[in-house]
Amino acid sequence: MDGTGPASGNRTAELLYDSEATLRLVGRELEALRDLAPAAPQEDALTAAQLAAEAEVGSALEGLPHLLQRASLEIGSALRSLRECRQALKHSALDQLQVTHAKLREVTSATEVATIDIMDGLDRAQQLVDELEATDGDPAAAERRGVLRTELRNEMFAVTGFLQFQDLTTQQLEHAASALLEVEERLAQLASLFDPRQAMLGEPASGSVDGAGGAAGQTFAPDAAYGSATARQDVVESVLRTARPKG
Amino acid sequence: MKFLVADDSATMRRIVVNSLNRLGYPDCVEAVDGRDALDKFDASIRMVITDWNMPNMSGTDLARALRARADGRQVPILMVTARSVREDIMAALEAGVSNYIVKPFTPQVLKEKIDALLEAPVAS
Repeated sequence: MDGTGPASGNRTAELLYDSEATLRLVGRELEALRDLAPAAPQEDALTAAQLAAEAEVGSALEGLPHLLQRASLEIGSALRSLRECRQALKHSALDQLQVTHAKLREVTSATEVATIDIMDGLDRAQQLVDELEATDGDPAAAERRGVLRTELRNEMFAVTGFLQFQDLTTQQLEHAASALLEVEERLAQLASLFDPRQAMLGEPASGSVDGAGGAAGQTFAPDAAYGSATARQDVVESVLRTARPKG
Repeated sequence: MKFLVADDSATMRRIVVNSLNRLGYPDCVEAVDGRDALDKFDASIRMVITDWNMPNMSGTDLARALRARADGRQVPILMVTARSVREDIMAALEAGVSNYIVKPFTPQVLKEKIDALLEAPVAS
């Protein structure tokens, strides 16, 4: 479990509040001391009132070390908590950003491979059209033209299939976006430690990851990929064979 | 013979429907997610082809919902998804999916799966 969860955030926020309250208390005490202090003491003219004020100052100062010690402990505790948060954030954010980077690289690769597949298909289709034109008007090539037309249809159909990369790259981008949203949420949690009032209002700018990347209603496959489809289909066939032995 | 094609990607729906048309199945109903598919399903549907990851209702939830219906118990369900991890495939089968294709698929694989499903009795 990391230290950036809501429980850790609340604990740290409470500590910060307590520290702030303690420091206010110290501040008030110091203010009181300043008010009580004589404006310009004359060595040889101490009045009874001034003597009484000095006695009161002495009494107030007795409680001050305790207050300062308490404030110091609370601030130390808050700082430790913040350090833990920072470490957790550093690791998780780094992981998520690496996922984002990997997914974006996959998108680039998938787009390139699909584009080459499409261009290859169109080249083959172009060659078939050229061959059809070459046999045009030749009565002896009628059968060959029939074959070429079928091949041309198949090539055009195959090109349509290559367009599946659009769906797959969309899923890869959604995966990358969900990783970025997670980093954003963690940053928002950390930021809220420094402004507890904001934490009360407290939503990250883009809301939850549920819409894009959360488990509920997730609209991308984490392992979506354009390449190695045959190998992955082989895995399916292997599982189907073992899961459902044919009788 | 009527097919129900569920996918939140308009591109994929079009590719699957085009493939079905080319394989000689012109009668296709399209659904944008599992819930839409469940609404559009009726006894006239001969096969359901569904994606896994969709908003509102996933493909596996759709399979479970169909298997819970009297008129959906026997319909072949073909999952077409980018998920290819062994555990996912097993989970889909447990949900009631009859067969499974990994995206991107070739028309040949789609044809083989459809032929097999139309020939075989449903094991649900």
